[in-house]
Amino acid sequence: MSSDRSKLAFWLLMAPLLIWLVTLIILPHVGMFLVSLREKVGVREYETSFANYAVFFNEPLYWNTFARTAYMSIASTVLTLLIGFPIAYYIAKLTRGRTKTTLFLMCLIPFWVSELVRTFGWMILLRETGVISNVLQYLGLIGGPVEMLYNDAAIMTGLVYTSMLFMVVPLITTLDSLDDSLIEAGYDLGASGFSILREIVIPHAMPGIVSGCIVVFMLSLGNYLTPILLGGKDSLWFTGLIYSQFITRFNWELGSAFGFLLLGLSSLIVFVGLKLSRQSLGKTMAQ
Amino acid sequence: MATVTLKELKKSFGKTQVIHGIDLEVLDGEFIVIVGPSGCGKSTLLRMVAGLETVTDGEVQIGGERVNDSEPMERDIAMVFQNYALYPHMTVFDNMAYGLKIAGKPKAEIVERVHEAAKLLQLESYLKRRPRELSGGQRQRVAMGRAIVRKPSVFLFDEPLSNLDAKLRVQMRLEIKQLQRRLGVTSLYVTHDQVEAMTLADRMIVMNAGKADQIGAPLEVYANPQTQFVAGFIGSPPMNFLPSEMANDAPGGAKTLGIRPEHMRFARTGKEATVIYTEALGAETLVHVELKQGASATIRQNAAGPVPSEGAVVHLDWDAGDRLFFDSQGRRC
Repeated sequence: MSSDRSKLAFWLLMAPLLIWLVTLIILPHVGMFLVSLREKVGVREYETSFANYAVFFNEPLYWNTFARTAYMSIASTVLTLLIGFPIAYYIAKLTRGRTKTTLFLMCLIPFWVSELVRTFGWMILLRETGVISNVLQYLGLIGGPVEMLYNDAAIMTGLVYTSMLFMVVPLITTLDSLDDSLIEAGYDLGASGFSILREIVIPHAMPGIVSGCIVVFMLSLGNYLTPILLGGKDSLWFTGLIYSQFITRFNWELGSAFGFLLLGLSSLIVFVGLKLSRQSLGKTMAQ
Repeated sequence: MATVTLKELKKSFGKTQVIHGIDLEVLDGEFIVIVGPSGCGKSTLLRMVAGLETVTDGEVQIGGERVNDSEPMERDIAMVFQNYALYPHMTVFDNMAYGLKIAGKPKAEIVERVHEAAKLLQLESYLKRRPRELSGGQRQRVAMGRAIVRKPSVFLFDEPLSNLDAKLRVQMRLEIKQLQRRLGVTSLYVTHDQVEAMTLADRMIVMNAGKADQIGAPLEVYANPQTQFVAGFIGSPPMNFLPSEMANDAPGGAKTLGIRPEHMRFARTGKEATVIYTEALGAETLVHVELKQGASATIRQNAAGPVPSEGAVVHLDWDAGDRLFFDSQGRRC
């Protein structure tokens, strides 16, 4: 009797999560997968085939964009890590009390406004008639207005800026748990600053590094707004292609296939990343 | 092996001075214990010798050479940390070998030295394990092993036993002492535990608020404390402090009269006191009393002797030679 009750309680507690997972994640994906397998052969006539996936592999523009999105996302993840690690280390290890809280909040503040506003902020700075261009002209460093938007560097800046917090937070958490005496013992044992970083700090921070990288990578890969706004029409971001298939060309079948390819790609890269860093998903997510 | 010399050593954090000038000469192979309550600056002192804190003023010498500005690695010291500071992602072997590996020693020598130290510390069968798979005492041994393999000229211990339970602490205390005797390495050992200080030290430094109140052999410090602080800190239960008026022949300027609990005895005549409560510890009994003048005292009584019941009125007596007098500054007089 009592075990029946506790079972009921368990399922009731799980219900919101299960409903959310099933109706908003699993069902749409199953539907999308079925749509992606439909080949249009006539008006309202469909056949089951992998034709939509074949289209992707036969059209260089599609898989070039796909590869470019992947490598740009990896690059932005690496860049975010390189910039975020010193920041996180500084906040976690070299500051205390109030300064620490303040600095941490300063990392959070940009996230109080929407992503759209943040991205427009970058546009105001970078465009031809923007702040940076004007200041440089005023200082006489450049002759005429310079356009800094609509290139890969602008996209990269936007991606790194947008995802910085998701790297810094897990890093601060893991670095906080690194006992100072471990670093001191390293110096005591004769290690240089570099070997302490490589052999003590980074191995300790590895779960944080990996979980931060996974989140940042996923966010970059699936980002739509930043690449489109900062990269312009030629941004060639894969989510842009999916959007145009669904919304501009009403080709839901191809759009669904693209969506599934993106899902497969991100899972694959995360899997490879975990294998390379010898971390398990469970250990990383426990952070 | 080396001597350690501290000259007028001072340390400030910002405007707060925490070490007010310490002078010390440590002989080659000597075991020095720095003891004091928390916040007295004892750990800071050790960390200055280790090179983990900068020296504000004064001089640290190791083996006769000034090392104020040397990196920790250049000082030929090895420190054992309070929480052991073992690397969780390395095996016991790798933890112990780390310092040698960094020093670029040949592999065969590293293996030999680690095994030698492991044998000494009875860690041979644990070399492949990770620190989290070890008990507290074993981790403590690994931390010592990591220091021993480097064959330093000075060992620095920062409260190495404070994370162990009482029984293990007694055992490790003996092991540390034996090890230090055997290796003959000059050692500085920080603790807040006066029993550890008494048992381990060749000489001890009793620190109080950033000053060395007394430096001397344990029994000398116990029998002949230079300040009221030292008298109260060393010895358990602590020395009884009574107003000096209770002695008819107190020297001029004396404010406090100190008598150790074992030097007080019950007598037919003497100072009248009321027994508050008694603690029977087996071999001895502690009797806590309140004197008429409002002062309280503890008497250490052999358990074989008669123990007064709580609430009883007793008379206390002591030998004149066991009395210590302190002035209003807490200094002996």
